Amino acid sequence: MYKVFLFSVKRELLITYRSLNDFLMPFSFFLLLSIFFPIIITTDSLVLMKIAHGILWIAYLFSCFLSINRLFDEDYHSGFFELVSKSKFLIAFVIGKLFCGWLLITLPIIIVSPITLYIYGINETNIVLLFFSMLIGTPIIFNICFMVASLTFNLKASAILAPVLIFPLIIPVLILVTSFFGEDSFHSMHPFDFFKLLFLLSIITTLFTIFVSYNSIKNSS
Amino acid sequence: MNIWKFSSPFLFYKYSSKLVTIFGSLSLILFIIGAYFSLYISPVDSQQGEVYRIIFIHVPSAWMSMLIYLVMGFWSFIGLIFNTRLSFILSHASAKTGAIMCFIALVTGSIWGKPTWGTWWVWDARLTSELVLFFLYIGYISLFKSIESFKKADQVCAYIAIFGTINVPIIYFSVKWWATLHQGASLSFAGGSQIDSVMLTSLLIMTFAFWFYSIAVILYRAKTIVIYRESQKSWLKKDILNAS
Repeated sequence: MYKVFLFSVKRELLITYRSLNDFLMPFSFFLLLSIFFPIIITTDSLVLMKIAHGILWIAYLFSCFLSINRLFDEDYHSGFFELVSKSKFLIAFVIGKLFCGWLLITLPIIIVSPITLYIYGINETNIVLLFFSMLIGTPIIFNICFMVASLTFNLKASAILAPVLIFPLIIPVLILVTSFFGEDSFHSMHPFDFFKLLFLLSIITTLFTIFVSYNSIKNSS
Repeated sequence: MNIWKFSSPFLFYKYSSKLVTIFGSLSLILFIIGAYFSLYISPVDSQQGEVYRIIFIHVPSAWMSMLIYLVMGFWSFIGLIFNTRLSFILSHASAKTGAIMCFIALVTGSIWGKPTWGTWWVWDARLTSELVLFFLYIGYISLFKSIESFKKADQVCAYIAIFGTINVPIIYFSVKWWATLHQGASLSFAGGSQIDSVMLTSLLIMTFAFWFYSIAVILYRAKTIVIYRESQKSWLKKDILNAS
């Protein structure tokens, strides 16, 4: 089981290494979006400070939308799923794919996010808090995106359908994080309680996502 | 008597026509009584005037929209566990009625909100969560439409419905939390006045009318889906040939 998981991770990393373009796309899209927001809205640093956390999460969400369509496409068309769906270690493949997806799409964005926040003029405490909240909170959004992608990957309209399905499902998380960082409610909750809540939600969504994607891939062929 | 035998499309097809007639006529009668009660008998509200009467449509439709989503999630859950055809059909048939109820609730709510609150839309907790619920319905329906094989569509949509059902209370509480944080309790739903017993009666009559209407329409739609899906089965062909 563990070996299969490692193999799956290795395979995903190798595929990414051979097509670095796919890896860089969501990442550069995130940077572009976060640069565009000040240009479009305002460069007034007081306004930017208020909306920075919202921009960060929206930009992350959009880069997720951009990348999830390709998560399953290649494996489905190359017949990899047909092979794997008969295996008794399918669950290890699913976990590996979920882990690698988060690692390759989200982690670069999280690492670069402090720089984006710095050019928005956020102070250091908030940068650290936002960094950790992204580290703990992004799995929730990524899990839901992954789940919907696993359900819609072989459909014609999946590129439009997936965001329509994802938006209502992630509203609680977005509200949670943005209201935590909203200026008038910043002290309403202790950061550790907030992180605990995010962590709990990540665990629950991870379990649900693994279950749904497992069944979906099993029945896909 | 074995209760499980009613999960077969054949028996459902046989009984659903009668049930549709019963519930449809019940809802029609109740609508007429309810309209009379709510438009003539109910007293004028002391603060809101005549405009409050729209709540006799608004409140039942909002309740139904939430209830139908729970029903959808329930049938999807049953369908995934027991793999019964009929439960998926019922879940699918409920979606459109739920979306319509949601839409009615939103539209009547904003019509009511303009004279009483002075605006068509506020970012209140209830309004926002109703809007999100509407998008959940839209997502479910459009997902179902885009999958060709209905067996796969059943499975896929069931997961979305279940996840949405878990999410609906979370959405409601999160939105409530968010809205109360940002705008305070300037606009509360209860208009300040204690509800009159006549008003309550007419509200209950309208609620039951909406309830029976939804049951009738959902059963009718489910019957149509059964006919569509089972069109190759011999019992259906025999029944239709006998009827004509």
